[in-house]
Amino acid sequence: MEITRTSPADLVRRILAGEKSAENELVERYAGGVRVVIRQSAPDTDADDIYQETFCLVLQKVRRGEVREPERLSGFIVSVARNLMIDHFRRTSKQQAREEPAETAVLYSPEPSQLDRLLQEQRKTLARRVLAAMPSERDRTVLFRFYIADDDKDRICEDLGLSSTHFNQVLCRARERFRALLEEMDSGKK
Amino acid sequence: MDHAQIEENNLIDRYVRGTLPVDLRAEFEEHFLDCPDCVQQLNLATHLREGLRLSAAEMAAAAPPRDSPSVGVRKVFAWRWAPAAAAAALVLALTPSFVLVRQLGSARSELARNQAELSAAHSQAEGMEQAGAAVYILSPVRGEGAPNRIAVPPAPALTVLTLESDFSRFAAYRAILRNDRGQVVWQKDQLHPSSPDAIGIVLSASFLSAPGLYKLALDGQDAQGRYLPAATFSFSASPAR
Repeated sequence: MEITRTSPADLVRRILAGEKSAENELVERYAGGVRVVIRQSAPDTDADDIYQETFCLVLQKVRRGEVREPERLSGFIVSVARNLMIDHFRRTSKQQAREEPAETAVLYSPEPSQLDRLLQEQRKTLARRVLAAMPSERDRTVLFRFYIADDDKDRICEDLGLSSTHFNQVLCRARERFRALLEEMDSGKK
Repeated sequence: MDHAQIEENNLIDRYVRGTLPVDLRAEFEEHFLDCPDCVQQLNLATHLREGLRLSAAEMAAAAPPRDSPSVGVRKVFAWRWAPAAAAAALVLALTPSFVLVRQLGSARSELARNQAELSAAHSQAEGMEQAGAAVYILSPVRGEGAPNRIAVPPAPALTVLTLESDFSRFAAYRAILRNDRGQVVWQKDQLHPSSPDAIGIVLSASFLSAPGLYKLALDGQDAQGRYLPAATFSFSASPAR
């Protein structure tokens, strides 16, 4: 049975009517996507801060009726997140310019947290298992060249005599295998 | 924007690699923000890419130590490198297994998982071997001297360069590879050292297809985001026979 989702316009209308549950629904619905946008555009920043600020500002603007095209709520949220990221970079660079650069450099710690390290280890292990499960040498080469060597798709297809569809299938299969292994690992922990 | 278009144009992976044009990126972001399926695929692609890159960098850095030749570069043919890679992968593979086993509390799971990891490590090493990857260890350029020589396997094989220098000063580095005319043939940001004195990079052999001298400059990124020169490597590339 297909689950019908509330339209973005309806979500905006309910928030304007003061419905608190609609605000929670908005955050839940767009949280994953906002995290992806922030991670992709500002990988080394404090993503949690920008994430929180994005939803605070979005909700304020929706409550004040500042969303001009409610059906395009996604685009509105992305633009709020982007502006906050730009603002964050400006503030950070101004702050760093005011501070003693040498001291900042000493205080700066590039070390990933223990949780990050654990997750990295897990991803490495799973990536190796995905590679091992690839059906052919050619498919493994596709993964290496695309994800590690950053080769262009067209170049890889030309070198290996692959069609665009086959290339897409290789990546899609690899992601699916990765997802299955993640789920397997998660169910093992429960 | 629909899923057929996303799949056909490979938008998930292009977005993760940061290679989408600005307008297409904005259009795709507007779509996936309200699309749980695309968000899931984006997360999977990001983590798979990260896992593969970390794994490859560690394996490159785990190539044989710098005890022998006085020359700054040493070629390790795929058939010699594969066992080293397998050994490195095995050590890496066993660590997460141990953590998992403790969580599961089952000796049987430990055995099964370790066997699977071991098998995966061997398969990956064999995969690299079959793919014709060759590993070279490069030391920074100091003064005038004969350039390091590397033999480039025929495309589409891979060339793994283990760069040895003091990489403890910065968290991230940028690598720029130039040919003998000074043209940039390859560039990569956000490279992370796999140890304080090594960075592993994997290049498609096609980037080195033109024989000649190459210079690889490594710049470190400081806390303000500025790039500062860290080390320069030079080598002469010629096709493998």
